[in-house]
Amino acid sequence: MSESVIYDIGYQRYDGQRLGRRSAVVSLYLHGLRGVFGLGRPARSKVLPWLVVAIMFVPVIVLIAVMSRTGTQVERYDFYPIQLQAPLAIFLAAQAPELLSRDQRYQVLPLYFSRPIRRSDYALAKLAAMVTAMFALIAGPLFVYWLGSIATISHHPGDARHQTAQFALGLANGVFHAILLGALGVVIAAFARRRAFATAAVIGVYLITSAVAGALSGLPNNNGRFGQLFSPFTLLDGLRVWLLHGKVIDENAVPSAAYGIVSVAFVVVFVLVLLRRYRTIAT
Amino acid sequence: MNAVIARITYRALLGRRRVLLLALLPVVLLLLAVAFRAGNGDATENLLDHFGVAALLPLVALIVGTGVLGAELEDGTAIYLLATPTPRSAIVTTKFAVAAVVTVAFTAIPEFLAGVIAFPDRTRLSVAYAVGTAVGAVVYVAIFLALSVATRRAMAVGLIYVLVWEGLLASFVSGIGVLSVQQYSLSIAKAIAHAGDEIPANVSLAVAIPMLLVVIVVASRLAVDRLSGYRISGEPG
Repeated sequence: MSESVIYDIGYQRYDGQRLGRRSAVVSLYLHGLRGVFGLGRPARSKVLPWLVVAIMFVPVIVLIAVMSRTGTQVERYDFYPIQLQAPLAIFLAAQAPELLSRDQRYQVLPLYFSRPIRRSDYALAKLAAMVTAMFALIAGPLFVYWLGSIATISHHPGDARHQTAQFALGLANGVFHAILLGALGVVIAAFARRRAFATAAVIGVYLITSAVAGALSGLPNNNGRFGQLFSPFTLLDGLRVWLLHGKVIDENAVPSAAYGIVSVAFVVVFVLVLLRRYRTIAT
Repeated sequence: MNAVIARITYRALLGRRRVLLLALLPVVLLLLAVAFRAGNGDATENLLDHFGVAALLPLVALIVGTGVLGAELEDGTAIYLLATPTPRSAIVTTKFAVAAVVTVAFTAIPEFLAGVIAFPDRTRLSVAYAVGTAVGAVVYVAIFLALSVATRRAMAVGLIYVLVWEGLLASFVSGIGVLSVQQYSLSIAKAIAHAGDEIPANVSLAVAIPMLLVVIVVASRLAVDRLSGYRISGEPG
């Protein structure tokens, strides 16, 4: 009993290639992206994301049908996200916790952190997955709408070029939405172990800030318009008008550069808070 | 009804971080009301309708309604409750009562106060919105409680109902109001308020009251049925 010996009981060693940190981050990103849409997970995890995807595509299909009848453009690419903000918010509120809260709840973070990835890699890979998913959710319907517009109302090459330019602006707008919304959802979900809490918090932020912005804009002295800077979709709409010279929906908006500054500030703060959360999270 | 279950539910509901989120929402409403009073805003629908009935009410009802029973079912501690000889119907009734009382307290009372603060000379309107909100709270809670027994993703399903059905679709198709709790609330508020107060209800009271009673009964029956069929097996999770 005095001396302990480690016997070689014949386990095979792994002499294959070690793929390392970069590969781990990429697979974490891809795994997260698949998970957001319920791919590789049971059928009941697929219901909600694909229901939202379906909701996102319905208006586009109706619009194309109307265009083919009337021959005129009935909608613009850049209004799409703000008009479908409810499904976008639901998708974010339901799927960001799916991405982050479950790992905390089932205490698998130590397993990730014992691999050759850093904690910040984990957080950023998850963030990237959510941003990509949000972008796909916006860009998919826009792509179909672009194809539909080319097929139904573009009679000259100039028409098609015009459609393509508008489509590109729509995609840029989609990128802004994806980054800000994705960062918002991920940073909230990072703080909740329970999925339902995170969902309620994301949707609470969305509903309350937009209701506050809406209510404040009803104030007669016009100072209430600054509320628009603190509600995600009105902020993003201001950004669209400012950067992409889009058509104005709301006439009494804030001076436009403010939208840019506030958007960037929010994203930076969200990312820093997210990184800090995962630097200090107890495993 | 069971006093012990009621007390435990009440403590679980208001004892954790959730109470902060719950209290935050009415506080925002009251702050807005103060801003309205200072800014002399006259658009009642912005404050009491868009914020109160369309955002605060469903959100609080969703958090409370899915929290009273759904949280226990999800984390597996519900089996300690289900294993006792308490009738499942008594469990549902008690949870429903607690959720309804808490939701009314966190929605209808702030709604009334916000109305009084923002529009001091229109008390009747504040009362109307408060009563409408209180009734809406009870109906919402019944629905969300049933959802939380029927599905694990009650929060998400409830959100889709509130945002897509009541929010998005109801603005295109007015007939949807017949199946919209928000419209029941507005309908009741409209019946109480002065004729001159413009409350955007598109369902008549004669439709709203029977419908909301049916919804409450059906939802509670469903909750009891689903909970009665809940099998207890194996170790607690």
